[in-house]
Amino acid sequence: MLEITSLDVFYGRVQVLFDVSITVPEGELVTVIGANGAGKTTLLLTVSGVLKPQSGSIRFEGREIDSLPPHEIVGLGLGHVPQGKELFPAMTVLENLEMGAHMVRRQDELEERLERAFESFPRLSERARQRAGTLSGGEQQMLAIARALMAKPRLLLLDEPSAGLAPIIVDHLAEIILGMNSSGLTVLLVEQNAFLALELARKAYVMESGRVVESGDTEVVMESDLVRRAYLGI
Amino acid sequence: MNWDILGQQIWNGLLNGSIYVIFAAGLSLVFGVMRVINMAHGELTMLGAMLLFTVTSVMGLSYFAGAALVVVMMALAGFLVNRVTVRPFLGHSELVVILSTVALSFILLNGSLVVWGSTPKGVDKPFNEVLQVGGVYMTTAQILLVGVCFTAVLALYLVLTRTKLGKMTRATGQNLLGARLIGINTTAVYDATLIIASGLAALAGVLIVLISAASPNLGQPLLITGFAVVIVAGMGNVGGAVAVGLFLGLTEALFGQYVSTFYRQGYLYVVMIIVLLLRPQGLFGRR
Repeated sequence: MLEITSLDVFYGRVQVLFDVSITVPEGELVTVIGANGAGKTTLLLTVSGVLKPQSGSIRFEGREIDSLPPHEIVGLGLGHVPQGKELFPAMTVLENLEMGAHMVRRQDELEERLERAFESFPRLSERARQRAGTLSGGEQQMLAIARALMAKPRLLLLDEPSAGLAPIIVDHLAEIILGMNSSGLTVLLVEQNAFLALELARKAYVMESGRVVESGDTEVVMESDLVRRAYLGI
Repeated sequence: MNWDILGQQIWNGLLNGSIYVIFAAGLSLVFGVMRVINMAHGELTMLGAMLLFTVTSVMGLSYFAGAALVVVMMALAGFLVNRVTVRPFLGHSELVVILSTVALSFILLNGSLVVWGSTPKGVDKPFNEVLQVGGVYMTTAQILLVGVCFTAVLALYLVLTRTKLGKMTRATGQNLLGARLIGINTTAVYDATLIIASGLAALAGVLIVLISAASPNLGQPLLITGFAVVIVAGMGNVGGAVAVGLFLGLTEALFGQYVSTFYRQGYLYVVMIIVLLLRPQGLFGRR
């Protein structure tokens, strides 16, 4: 569904991604783990069209997307929950969700999607009239995911969803991610929390300093010396 | 206490305040959505007034037809303002965008001086009867000005809070990356923002000629006043700019009447300095 081939990305004259290739098959939950500064966020922002690659290609459902602007990429069915959530803090929870579905023209369709969002995230319906900026960290993460889902993406990019959340909320989040995946959504999950990521995903990539250094089925990747030493501490 | 004089000054203050409100609303909108300080906003208002002079006096249109034509033309010109002076420089330092809009303002000001000369031009008002309400004198043209200003500001408020375009505009202003990642075409939002702001600036221009003459020199002082309003309110807060514009217009008139005519000019800036000292983010601004 998503094929990233030999991607090179620069910030100005500094190269941050080197020859990165990643494949996300339809229906799968694939994870990319790596330390801070490994280039994981850069990778996702390049897939979304916010950053432009110097070379390499990105194909989504067979279509070349690396020269498209972000709004067209979202329109093709690719959702992105960014690191830091990037909500609209002075708008209400409801307005944030409406914005996620801004491309929907029919009112009944919009209401149906809102209903589904509140069903999946009951917490958000309690907070519907509250400004997004006043939510707790966990609630903001839920809202960021729900907002991206409002566009009905077929592939969801999740950037460090567990960052800064309490363990109990991370568990809840893990259930939500698994639930979305089992209902048919393809997920590319980027995480620093290797335990969480490797527990959820079937396929994993490990990035270091802008390169993919390990990849394969999760069980295999978990057994590799590199991952055991650097990420799992065993 | 002479109540007639107080009433007259409140009315005069309301007239100036209305202009401040509609001018500062556009200036604040552009900053709030795009983080761009549009130094050409004053000249867009000036151009509105001068073009109105030309289409009414030279081409013979009525005030209303001319005003509508000028506002629409200037709104469309807002698209060019974005594409030529703002968009190419976004992503560079903020100073670069400020300088490019300063350049635009110089071009518009000096171009207008060449075209129209520096002598103020009167524009025929659609009607101008003097009414006496209580002890206060007002003209029908002045009432039109106040009415149109507040209708325009109310319309702007409704667009920003009730329409999808307005909500997308606010969303873009609150979080550009967030807006891009949910698929909002932020380039189109920026175009729309400058189209609306430029239309509002021109509307201020066609209204100003109801209470004073049209002159190529009217933009600069208005820009300075507009900045005082926007800074006191808090940069980018459109609602705050409306409240502060009205308040400053009123109190400025009262200050001129009861405290000092001579220092009236300085009143706005004294208020601005005091607010900046006590609350650097402005009255309605957030840190």
